Amino acid sequence: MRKMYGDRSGISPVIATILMILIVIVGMSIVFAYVSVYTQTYQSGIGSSVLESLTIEDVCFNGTTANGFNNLATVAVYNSGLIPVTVNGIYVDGNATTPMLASGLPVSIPVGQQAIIQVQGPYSQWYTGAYYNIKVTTLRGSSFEKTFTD
Amino acid sequence: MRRHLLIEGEKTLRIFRNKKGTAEVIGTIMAIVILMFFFTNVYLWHDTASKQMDEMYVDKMNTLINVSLTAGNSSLVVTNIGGSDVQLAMLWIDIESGPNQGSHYYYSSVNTIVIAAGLSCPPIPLPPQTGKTVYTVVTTLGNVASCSYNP
Repeated sequence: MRKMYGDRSGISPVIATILMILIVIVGMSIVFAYVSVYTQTYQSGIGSSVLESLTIEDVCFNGTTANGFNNLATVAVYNSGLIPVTVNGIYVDGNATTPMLASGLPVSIPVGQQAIIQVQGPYSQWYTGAYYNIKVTTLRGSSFEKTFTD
Repeated sequence: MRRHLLIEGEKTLRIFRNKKGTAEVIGTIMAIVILMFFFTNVYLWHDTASKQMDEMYVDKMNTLINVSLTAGNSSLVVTNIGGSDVQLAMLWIDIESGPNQGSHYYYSSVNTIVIAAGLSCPPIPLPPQTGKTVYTVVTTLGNVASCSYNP
């Protein structure tokens, strides 16, 4: 018995095996954590963009800003998709608008609900009879467009 | 020739008998299987999500509506010209001329109206018009139809 404990010739392979197992466990844990986080981020983020659908119901081109510009627009957006949507931008003819909400953008819209967002347009005023392309973008990267006339 | 074949056979047998490297091969296969399991989950989830959305788009295409004013322009009738039931979400009234020009307002109370395929809803009473008015109906699936009153 004493001879067995005194003999150190087999320790190196044992330690090597234990080290190898530890390295494999740590490595697989890192891979598992990375893939889990990637999967969750993908599913709740850009991956869910396929489930988004917004309908631009109405745009009202009227309203004057405090400094006299007649370039406010009220955009009504309905969430007709399968998941809640967060609107993070509204564009007119490809130009960014300035949100006039106290909370600003982004605005979350639950499924089957609408949001009414007032924005200041990129032009100094709206022209009667002119067509404006309204684009609404979401946090997940989807965009929905429709053309309206003043 | 026969000797050569025997030597080759022995070599093949030796390869199968030799157990060196087996652990590495099994480890690699297991790592690949585990990684494939994770990424297959992502792929299957994405596939399911795409299918759900495709079904929604099919429903949307199959639930088109038509909007018209009744005689006297006092009410609105929505007709389901698709093959599936339609639920209304919103009615927008935009006044384009007259004393209230520029007014836009909506009625979300129409969201209780469900119209069966090929049928029309009961007339929806409208406020009296004061000028050119555009009526827009939005369904829960995102279909939009409009009609207008022009005095």
